[in-house]
Amino acid sequence: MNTDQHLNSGAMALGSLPDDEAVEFTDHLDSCPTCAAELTSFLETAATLGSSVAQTPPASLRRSVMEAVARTPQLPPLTDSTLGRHRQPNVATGTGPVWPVQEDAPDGPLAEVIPMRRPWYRRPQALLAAAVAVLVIGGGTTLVVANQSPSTPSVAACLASATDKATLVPNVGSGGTVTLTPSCDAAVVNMPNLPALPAGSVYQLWVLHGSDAKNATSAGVVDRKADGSVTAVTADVRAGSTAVGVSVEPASPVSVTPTTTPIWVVPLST
Amino acid sequence: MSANTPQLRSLSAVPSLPSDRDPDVAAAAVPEDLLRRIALGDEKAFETLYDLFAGRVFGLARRIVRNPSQAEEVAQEVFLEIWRRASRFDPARGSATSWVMTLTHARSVDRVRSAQASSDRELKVAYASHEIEIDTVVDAVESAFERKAVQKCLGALTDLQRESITLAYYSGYTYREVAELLTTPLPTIKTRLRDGMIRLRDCLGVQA
Repeated sequence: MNTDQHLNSGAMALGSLPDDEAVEFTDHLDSCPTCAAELTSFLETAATLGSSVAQTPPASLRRSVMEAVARTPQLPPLTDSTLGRHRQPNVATGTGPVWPVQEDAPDGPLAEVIPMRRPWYRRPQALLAAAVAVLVIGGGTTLVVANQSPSTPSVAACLASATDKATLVPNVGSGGTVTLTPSCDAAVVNMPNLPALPAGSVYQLWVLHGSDAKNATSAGVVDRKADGSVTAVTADVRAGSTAVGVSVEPASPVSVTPTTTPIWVVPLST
Repeated sequence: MSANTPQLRSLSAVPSLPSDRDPDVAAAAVPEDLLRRIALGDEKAFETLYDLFAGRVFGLARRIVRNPSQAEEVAQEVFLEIWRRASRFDPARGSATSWVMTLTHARSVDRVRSAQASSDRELKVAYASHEIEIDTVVDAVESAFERKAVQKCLGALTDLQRESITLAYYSGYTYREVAELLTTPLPTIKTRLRDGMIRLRDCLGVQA
C-alpha cells in the first residue's frame, strides 16, 4: 500500500491525482518524510514547467487586480495558540470560506469580506449556508453535510490537495476524530457512535471560538443514523476557532448557543 | 537640511520609475520576502510581486484554459488569493515560486473542469487539438531561459513520460484521463509521471 502511495508523488505534483486519491496521498505524507521531500522537489519542477509558458498579460489585468486588492481584506495568520503549528497551506488550497473576523482577530478590525467580482467558487458555500439556515430553522430536521459532497467542490478539492492536515482527538468523550485543515478553513468531523436520545432532543455540532463556550457557532444538527453511527461532516473553522464539540439540545427551538455541557469536545490545537 | 537636498532631487527626478518605490521593497525583490511584506498589508510589495509573476501566472492559466479572457479571470483570482493568503505561506514548505505556480495550476484546472462539467467536453477532441496548441503558445517574453531548458529536458524524456506529463500538467487531466487517452494501464502512467518528474527535476537542476 505504501509502495503504491509512494508512486503518487509525480501525479500529485502535476495536479493530476483525483481528489479521493489526493486525500489518501496527503495522509500518507505524514508518515513518509521522503515522499514529502520528493513532492516538494517535484512541485518546484512543476513550477518551472509553468514558468516556461509565461506570456505578457493584458495591461488591464494589472489594473483590475490592484483595484480588487484595494477592496479585499487579508486572512490573519494561523497562530500557535489557536490552530497549532501547521504547515503552509498547500498551494492548491484556498477556496475555503472567508469569515467575518471577530474582534479578537490577531490582525485587528478586518472588515467583512467584500465579494469578489467572480466569486464562482464561493457559491457552493453560500448555497450550503442557506441550506443550513433552512434546515436549522426547520428544527428537528437532520442535517447532512457529507464530506466531499458534490455541493462543496471547492472545499473538497482544497481538502484533497492540502498538506497541512492534523488529526485531533477528543478531550471530552471518547472515540472519533477531527481532521483539521487550516489552509482550507475546514475541519472534517468524524464523530463516534452516539447513544439514542429521547424524543425532542438532538445532538448539535458546534465550532467554539475563544475560551467562552457560549461563543460558539452552530455547525448543524447531527445526523445520527439508526445504528448510532454519524456521517462525517465538514465544519468551517478559522483562526480563533478553539474546539469542535457536540451537545444535546432541544429539537425545537434550535439552540443558537450550547445550552448543555458538551458530551464530546475536540480541541483544535495539536 | 542641505544634506538632504541631493536625495530629494534624485527622488523627484524619477518619480514614476521602479527606483522611486519604497527602497525596502525594491531591495527585497526576493519573492519570499515580498510575500512576508504582503502578509503585513504592503500593497507596494504586492505590486512588485505582481510584476514578477504576472507573465508566469497569466501564461500558465492561458496554456491550461486556452481562452484568453478566462485566463485573465483565473489570473485575477490567483493574485487575489495570493493577497488574501500571504500570511499562510510557509517558506519551510517550498519556494514562493512553487506556491504561486501551484496555486495558478490548481485554479486553472478548476476552471477547465468546471467548464468540462457544464459542456461535457469530449476528451479526444481536446487531445486532437493539443499537439497544435503546444507550438502556438510561444508568446513568452519573460522566461526564454526557462523555456529553452524545459524544452531541452522534456525532449530528453521518453515519449510516454513526456506525453503523460504534458497532458497532466498543461492540459489539466487526471492521471486516469491520461491513461485513457494514451491507452496505457493506470499504474504505468503513475510510474511514468513519477520517473519522468525525477528526470525532469534532475535535468532542470531543481533543488528541493
